[in-house]
Amino acid sequence: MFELGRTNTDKLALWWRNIDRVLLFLILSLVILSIFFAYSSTATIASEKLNREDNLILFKHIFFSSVSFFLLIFISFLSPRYIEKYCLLGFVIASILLISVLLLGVEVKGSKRWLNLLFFRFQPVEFYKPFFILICCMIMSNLQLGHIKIRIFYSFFLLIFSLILLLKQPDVGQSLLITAIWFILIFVSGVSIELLISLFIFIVISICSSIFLFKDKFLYIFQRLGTFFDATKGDNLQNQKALLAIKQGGLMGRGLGEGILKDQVPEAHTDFVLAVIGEEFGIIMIILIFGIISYLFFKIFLHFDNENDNFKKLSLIGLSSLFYLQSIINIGVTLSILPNKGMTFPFLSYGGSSMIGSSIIFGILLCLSKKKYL
Amino acid sequence: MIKDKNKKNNFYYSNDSNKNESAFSDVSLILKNRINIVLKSFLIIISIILVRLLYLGFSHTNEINFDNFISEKDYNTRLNIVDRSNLLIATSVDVYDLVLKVDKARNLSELLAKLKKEKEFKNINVEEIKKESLLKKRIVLKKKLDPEEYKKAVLLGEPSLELNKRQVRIYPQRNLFSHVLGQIDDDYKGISGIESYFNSKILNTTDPSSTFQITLDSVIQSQIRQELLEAINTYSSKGAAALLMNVNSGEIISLVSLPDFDPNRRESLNDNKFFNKITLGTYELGSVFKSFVIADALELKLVDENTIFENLQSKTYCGNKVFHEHDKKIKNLTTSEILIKSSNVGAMLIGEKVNKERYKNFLTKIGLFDLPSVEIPEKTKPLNVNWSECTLDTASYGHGISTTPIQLASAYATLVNGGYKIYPTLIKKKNSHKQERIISSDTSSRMIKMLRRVVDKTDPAEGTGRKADISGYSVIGKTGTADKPAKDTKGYTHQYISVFVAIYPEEKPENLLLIMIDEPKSSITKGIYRTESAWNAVPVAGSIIKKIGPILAEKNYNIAFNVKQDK
Repeated sequence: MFELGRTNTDKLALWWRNIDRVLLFLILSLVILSIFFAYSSTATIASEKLNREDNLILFKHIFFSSVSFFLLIFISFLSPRYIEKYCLLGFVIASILLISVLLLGVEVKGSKRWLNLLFFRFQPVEFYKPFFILICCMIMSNLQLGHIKIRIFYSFFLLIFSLILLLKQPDVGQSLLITAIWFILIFVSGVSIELLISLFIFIVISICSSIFLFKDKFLYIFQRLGTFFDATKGDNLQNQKALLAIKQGGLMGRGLGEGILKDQVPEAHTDFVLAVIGEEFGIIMIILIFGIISYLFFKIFLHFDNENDNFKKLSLIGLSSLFYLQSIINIGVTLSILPNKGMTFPFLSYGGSSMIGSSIIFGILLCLSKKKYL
Repeated sequence: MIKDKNKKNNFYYSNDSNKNESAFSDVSLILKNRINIVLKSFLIIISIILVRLLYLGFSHTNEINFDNFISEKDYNTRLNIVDRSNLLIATSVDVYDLVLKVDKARNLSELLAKLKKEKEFKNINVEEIKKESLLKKRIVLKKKLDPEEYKKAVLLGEPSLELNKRQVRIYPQRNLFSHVLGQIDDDYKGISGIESYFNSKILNTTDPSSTFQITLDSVIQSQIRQELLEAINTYSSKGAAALLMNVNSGEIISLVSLPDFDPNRRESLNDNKFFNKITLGTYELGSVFKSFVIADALELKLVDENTIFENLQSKTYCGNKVFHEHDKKIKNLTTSEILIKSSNVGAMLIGEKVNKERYKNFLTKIGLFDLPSVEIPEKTKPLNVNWSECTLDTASYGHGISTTPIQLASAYATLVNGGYKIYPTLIKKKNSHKQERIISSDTSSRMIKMLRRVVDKTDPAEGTGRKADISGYSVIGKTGTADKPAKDTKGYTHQYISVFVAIYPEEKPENLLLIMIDEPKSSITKGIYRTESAWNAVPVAGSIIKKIGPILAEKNYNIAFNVKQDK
């Protein structure tokens, strides 16, 4: 019998003792739920849309789920020191991928966000986000770089670099997301309010001016905003239908396989997966999922108080805010509180890039939140 | 929330902590009061989402209108039409057309290229659509999408594409009810038949689950149509028509007019197959009119069945016109025999006894010159007859006077149902039509007896309708054969119209079957030596009665009607 007691100093036993098992099980439950929902939300799409066998998308989803879960376990095995050491490497790779999107990317529905790998379409921004935040945390916590203001300016340049890459795609949603996380990071690291406000104004002005300078490229943003505020004009088909689907589901849902949203809306299984779930399983299920993700967030976020290392603290705050803000935006769009953004829900949304990105985020978080027993 | 331990950290002058930081690397970079602000703002967002979720959860709707893709501008509904046994004879199905909204398309050529790539829409003509897009705002890309095309169109998620929902009318029995049901136009409005006459009742009703019932019977209709098709073949005739009606209620159980058409196919209405011979055609129907002159004479008590007319010539004159009898022998005939043997000269003598005014009034009263009451728009009022010098003579045996077959049938119904006027109808009526008396019940029963002798095989007088005497049904009836008037010149052609009105049973007449054959030919090879009604319409009626008799007896329409009456 495998012994997990303190006497066992085997790597696996150490991992088991040190890992935050509540987090691990919640993440695992999200992954299992996602496979279950993928079955209900994609089975018909695969057969009708791709004219292939029924469960192709489901198998793909199971494949990516298991790959990303193993990736997650692997990352959580690492020592936090490795994260600090290799995150620069990861960032460089992610940046190269992001730049290559601009050169080699495929255009889908007006935006160049994807790299066509042999077997799947890869969205490098999902991979880029966690490393960007880790690098920002590293810069901000590195005392050798000088005064906090100087460090913030270094990370600010990094942000501008990322924003240029993302807005070129264009991907306004992800740009706003990483900007928001960056502001949270500098906000909690004690920047004076004057500086914060002036940086904020600067960023707003630069984003706005770039949007107005390249108006034709960002036309979709205006249309989406326009339709968000005035439902009668333009195409807010996805939002309207998602809302209607949730309403039809009501508190308890219509029942497994009874949903029709997935057959009515293109890409329902990615950005609007919560509406598909809500239609079949009711508001109760959305609240449950939201509860799990919120619990994960608060547990990880508040874990920073147990740490002494500033990098760890900032990373815990940054990465947890990243996945949580992303989830909130996704829910907000689904519930028509926010205009359409194209943001996925961690683990639940169908899509390899999103799965792998989420597993990197949660793997690092599991790793950083490990207890320090031997 | 985390308690703020570091009291020095003022919200607005937070740089103090950074100064400490350079001295002690252990000092936290993070300000806990700011953490609190971040967490509180997250909490606010969470509560907004929760409120929204609960609000949505309790605003549960069962709205089915799920598709804003779908335009219902042209959506009109029509009721299903059923026959008297609730068999579906006209129904509607929803179909979708793929429509391109030109002004909403961001990039037309790209969109069309994308559509063309899909195998479902590879047949669209890109060049033509581009040309059209300059002129039109909405272009129909594909009509009547099948389920796969429909799903594909929805999943394309293209805001400039719209699915136009409309209904399409389906007539599952195809030709069977063509003249009764009629057709509809592009705007889904009825343009002929029941569809037109009851358009306001059928179109866009508030209760789409209800049905519209007519009195026809699918089974009997199809049997009769089959027999008529065979008859057209056998007698090489131009067409044929039949009407089956209840003589007490006027309910039409079957109405067939051949040639007919398939209402599922939309064609020009000029073809003669769209012509309803029963209600729209007026014909000189010949000897069937002899019953009316005799009934009038009986009613006026000028003759009785056994009044003998002596020395009937084979020729008779009116001015310089000559009228011929069928056979050349000079003979004595009773009133009954005049009817049974269909003697033209005898009928003329009775007509002279009745006199012109009274006979004209009788024909008018019995409804032969009325516009048919049947509920379809394709009907006509027979032309007013100019009663000239010889009209009485010819009208006595049914020449020089024309009417529609349906009015002939209703007049015969009056003769045999006890003397009440009948209004043929396609809709079940709650109360009886037997209110307006035309002839006495005594005359009616005498007429029945005489008409029975026309058909009775055993009668020594050898009536013209013997071939329709199906044993067990005691059929009564009267034949008629008339020359067709020439179209362009005066006078008559050598083509005939054969009519036979059969009614059964003799004891209490219920069902009236009118058979009309348009231009029957004789054919020695088929054993048909003559073209008179007795050789074509009569045997057809016989075989129809043989077929539909058991069905009608089982369904017992007349009894059902009477039961309703009693209540």
